[in-house]
Amino acid sequence: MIEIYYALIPGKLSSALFDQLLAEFPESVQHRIVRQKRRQKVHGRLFGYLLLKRIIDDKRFSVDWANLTYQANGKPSISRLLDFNISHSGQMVICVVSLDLKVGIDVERIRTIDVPSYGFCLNTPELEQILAQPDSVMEFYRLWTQKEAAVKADGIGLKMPMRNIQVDTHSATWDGNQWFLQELQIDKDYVVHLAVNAPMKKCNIRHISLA
Amino acid sequence: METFIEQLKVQLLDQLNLTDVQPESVGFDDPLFGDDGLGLDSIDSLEIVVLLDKNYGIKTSNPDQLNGHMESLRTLAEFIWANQAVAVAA
Repeated sequence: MIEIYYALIPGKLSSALFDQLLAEFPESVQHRIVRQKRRQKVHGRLFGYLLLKRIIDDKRFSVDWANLTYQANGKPSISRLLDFNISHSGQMVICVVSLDLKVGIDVERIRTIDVPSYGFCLNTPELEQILAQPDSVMEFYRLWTQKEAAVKADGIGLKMPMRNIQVDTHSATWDGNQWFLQELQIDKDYVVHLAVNAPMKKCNIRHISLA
Repeated sequence: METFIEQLKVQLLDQLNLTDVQPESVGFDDPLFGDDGLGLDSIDSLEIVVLLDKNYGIKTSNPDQLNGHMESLRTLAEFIWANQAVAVAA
């Protein structure tokens, strides 16, 4: 089972509504949400946890929010019975939950970038292939989110040199690890990839209005 | 060095387009990544590498060489100070 909920964060969020949404969580989680310095990040984290809560409530999973912790490798965990991952970029926040698989997700808002100046983070064949495409910016984000989703599923995070990850059409591999990839076409302004530790099963995707 | 870090802070906030951040709210030793600081992400780390090249002539052929140097504004400034080709007026 793979459940994916996503939402668009409203441009203006009143402090009353923010407080109301924040109050859905116990104090320990509230503290984790508001400790960020950037308002945009605070809103992203709040909405990410709200999506996680909606999935947990809708599927009637038994979860104690007091168990929300971050593992030594940086990946958040809330129960040994389920795996989840959250990503936020621009106005979009997205959450994936699975009971039986390890999962990672990455969303990036497409911004205008000078792809060759990002060449340092890619291996040579990847850069050549991307620059040969008509829309090299889109191809860069596609490759980046594939790799990022895989390292987030694994939990290795920023410690993994991204240029050392090999990506083919449906999987990302490094050091004997293999992660299966799927692109989620949700919004034309964003690129989203899901990574799973087994060949992809059906996933349910829902847009949620939170505010 | 303090003046240089202050200058770097302004450049960083501009390069990353962090319009929701007040410069005075960012300490020199605050973590750049993670929960307690600026909360930068992986794409932001690429923008920092671009900034190093554009503003200081520091080319990074191997991003691993930046491990441990992007922890805070101070560690980043010390890396620039040690590696830039042209002296920075502090």
